[in-house]
Order: sequence, then C-alpha cells, then structure tokens
Amino acid sequence: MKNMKPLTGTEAASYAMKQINPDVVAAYPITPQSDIMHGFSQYVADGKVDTDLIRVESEHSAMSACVGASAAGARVMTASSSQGIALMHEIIYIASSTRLPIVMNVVNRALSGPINIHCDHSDTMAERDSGWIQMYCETAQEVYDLTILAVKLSEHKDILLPVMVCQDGFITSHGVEPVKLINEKKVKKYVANYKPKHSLLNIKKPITVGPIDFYDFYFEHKRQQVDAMQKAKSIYPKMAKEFSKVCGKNYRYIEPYKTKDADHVIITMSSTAGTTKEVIDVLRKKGKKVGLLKIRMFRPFPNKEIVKELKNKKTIAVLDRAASFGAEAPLYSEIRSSFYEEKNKPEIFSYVFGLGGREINPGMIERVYSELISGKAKKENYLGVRE
Amino acid sequence: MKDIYEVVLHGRAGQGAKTAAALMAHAALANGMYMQAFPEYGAEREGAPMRSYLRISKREIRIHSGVHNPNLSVVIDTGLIYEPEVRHEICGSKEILVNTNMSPKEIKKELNFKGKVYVLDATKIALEEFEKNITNTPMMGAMIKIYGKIPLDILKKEFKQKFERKFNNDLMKANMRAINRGYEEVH
Repeated sequence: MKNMKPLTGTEAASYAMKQINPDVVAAYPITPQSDIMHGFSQYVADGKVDTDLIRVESEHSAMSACVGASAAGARVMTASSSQGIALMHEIIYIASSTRLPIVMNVVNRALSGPINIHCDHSDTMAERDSGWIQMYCETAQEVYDLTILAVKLSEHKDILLPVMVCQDGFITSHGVEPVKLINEKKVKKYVANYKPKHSLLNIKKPITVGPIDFYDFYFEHKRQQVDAMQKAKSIYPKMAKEFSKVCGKNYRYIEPYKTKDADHVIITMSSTAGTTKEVIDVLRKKGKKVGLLKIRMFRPFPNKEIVKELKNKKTIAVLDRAASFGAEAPLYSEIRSSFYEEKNKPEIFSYVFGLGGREINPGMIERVYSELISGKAKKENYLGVRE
Repeated sequence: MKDIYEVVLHGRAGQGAKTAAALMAHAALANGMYMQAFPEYGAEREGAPMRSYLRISKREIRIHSGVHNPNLSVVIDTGLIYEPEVRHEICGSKEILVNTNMSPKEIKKELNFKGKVYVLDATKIALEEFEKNITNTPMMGAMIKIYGKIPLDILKKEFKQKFERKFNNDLMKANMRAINRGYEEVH
C-alpha cells in the first residue's frame, strides 16, 4: 500500500498526462470529463509540464486542433465525454483516417436525448467504426496505466492510429481508489520522445495532409486502415508484455476471472467487471461454477482470443452498457459473430444494463448467473429496467 | 461483503458529503487499508439531496455499485431524516450517525429504528468554530470515533494536506478543533 495514492479516475488520467508531458493538449470542458482537464491545466499553470494547452470553443475545434498539431508532428492528447464526442465525430473520423496517433481519455456518459450526465457506453459505441483503437478500464489504476501504454501503442510505426482510453462516468471518474503510480523518470523513459514518421513542419521532406481522395485512391487508404487495425491487434500483446516491466501488470486484450473450470460466464467491460468478480467469489463459495471474461480492448476486437478462452463453456451472458436500436447490442453482436465458425459453441445471451447510469448491483449480476444456470434466460434481456 | 466496512453519507449538494467520504478514504489508505469513495449525483444543483459512499477493507475492493444496507449511515443535514426516501434508506443500516441537537433516544423514536444511533450537534460546533454551517468537518471526527480503526491524527494530516493551499492558518486551526470536537462530542 506504500506507493499507492488516493486518486479518482479523472485524477489518474490527468496524472498520467502530466508524466507523459504531451506537446499539445486541446480540450473543451464537459461533465464528467472536466476534472481531467481541470487537473491537467493545473499542472500546466504550475509549470509541471511544458505542454501547449489550447483552450478552444467546442469539442469540434478541440479535435480539429489535435489533428493539426498531430499532423505537424506533435505528441497530442485530449479528453471528452458524450455530447463532446458526438460533436467531435466528424474530426474523430478524420484523425484516424489521417493516421494521427492522438490519445483521448474518454469518460463514458450517456448520449442525449433525453439529456443525462451519467454512465453508459453509448458515446464510444457510436464511434466503434471510426477507426480508433478503444480500451475500456475497470479501475482508476487501469486508466492510469493504459493512458501511458496508449501513447506508445498509437505511435507505433506500423500502427499510427488514435486511441480512446475509456472509463465509466462518475463510477470510475469521480470515485477515489488506491492507484499505484510509476516513477516519473520511468514513465518518461518508456514513452520516450516522439519522432513522427511524417511531419508537416519538416520542410526538407514536404508532404500534403488531407487532400481530396476520390475513387482512385480512397479505397486503398481505407484498406490500409483496416490493415493497421489488424497490425495493432498482432503487435499489442508484445507491447503489453513490454509495458508490464514498467507497470508490473500484463494488460491483455481480455482478462479472464475464474473461467478455467467455469460452466457459465459473463462477458462485460469497465467497472461492472469488478462488481462481477465480487459476485463470482460469493457464488463460488456456494459451489457454482461461474466466471467472468472482461473485454479490455474493443477495437480491434480480440475475437479469436475470446473463442479460445470460452469455447468449452455451457452458457455466456454478454452484458452491454449500450443498445443498438434495431439490431443486437454491440458487444453481444461481436461475441456471437466470433463464435459463428465454432462447431460446439456455448449458448449466448444478451443483457443490456445500466443505460443512463441505472444502477447495476451484485444482486442483479447474481440474477444473471442464476438465469444462466437454470436455463431461464431469454435470448435478449434488459437488466434493471421497468417493463 | 462482510469484510468491507460500508458507509453512506446523506447531505445536500454543497455541504461536503463528497469531500468527507473522500477524505475518510484518503485517511484509510494512509493507514494501510484499501478504500473506495464516490458520490452519487442527481441534478447538479446546490441544496439538492445527494449521497456519497465509502468502503474500507483490508482487501482489494472491486465492487463498483452503490452501497445498500451499510454498516453506518451518516446524515449530515438534519432535515433529511424527514425525507421519506432517505428515512427508508438509513433505517436499513446497522448504525446511524445524525447531525442533530436531539438525543439518540429521540432519534430512535423518531425513526422507529432498532439499531444503534449516534448523534453529534455538528451545526453548533461548526457555527462556534468557523461561523459557517459547514458540518462535514466535525462529522468526519465523529466517523473516525465510531469506525475506530483509523487514528484521528491520520485524518487530520490528510485534511491539512488537502486544504493547506486553500485555508489560511486560522481557518485550518478552526477545522482541526472542529474535527477534535466531533471525535470527542459524538455520543
């Protein structure tokens, strides 16, 4: 406990940003993200970093400034939530298409309407096809560690893709938890200086960024983006292992918890994974063979690894904190698709939960396990809603 | 979760229930314990009823949902015991601490509560010590006394660290006296 500091999820993010000391940060405040920039701008004001902090008039401008700075060859970070991300959407897509390694801390918050400030994953799920790498954090500790890792991941010469590091609004962002910090020198050595492959400011090697790109080349560029995501998937495990020497933990794409001998497994992301672990420990004492598979990386999606981990299970419940209107919930859909080629596959059920910050508690998770065990689960369920 | 000590603080937005839970968590960590503290916001407006949660344990705390039926309910704003929803919730806890000038017996009768009730006239202490009705400081002292596993000095050190840039010397001393009095006068 000695090297642990009491930090909220937002403080963990801004502290990681301080240690990384990015060249440029552009952001616009929005609940519940604001505390990240509140903390970081304090570091700027106190001279703890030499970042150029650009205060803009909207999130659209924030991401635009990030794109410009990143194209110029700077190491760039930002943060946002919900409507902010929605307003950025146009430029979010341009950032990834231009292959700019921007890191954005996202505090997940329900999208309007009706207006709501609390947690669900609708904001980042709406960006799941935007070409950004997406990581989802269970704790403030993960937020801190993965923010540092994300910088290296996005800047890898064979990847060059922006990364979202997501945490649950209020639950993680405003909750105080113990966080083990890495020595600042070690962080700086790990992230090292960013040497951009291409830079607008390199006059010896002039380049054009963002020209018109019609039917003659657009498709090839999209194909390269697909390829870059595949590369991110194959390169990530090595990077995570390397980072484990710095932070002491190997952050795999997925985190299994007591799945080895489990018959019934819940798959979920972010803070709900922690609550599920507590429930598993209680049910295990009663002899129930239950487990959890936490999905840490949603884009690129680790389909093969998930199948390998769970193919012999009896049932799986996928807990989504977002809906997809007129189709299956996002994570459920991915899981079902991942198992399509398998001959003997578990029965897979969908549970949508926690929209707009609706509570998810141990009793509700226990109910999911008991429905899996008793065979009473419906194909698609809504957990904690009044119907 | 028998191995986790759970607290729910009921207050009104602006009264410091969030800060009180967070500082208790800081003190727990400084005392070598795992902890977690988080607020539950409704609409963000001053004066609206809100609550914050605190968990302390010797082991890692992974649960991330609100606290129900806690070991201790803390009512920072006296008037909240007359709010039906708060009333119902606090009666589901093992023990209750109320900021009030009534006696534990009177509160027990008012709430029809069978468990242990502690009271502290935190409003009186706050008005006497810093002439403002900010009651979370004495209530923290009382919580330390009731919980009994964190030395008061650790809380005071964490408090000083958190507010040394914000408070002048006199205000800091007044807060220290308020914490001490909360610890001494809770009954």
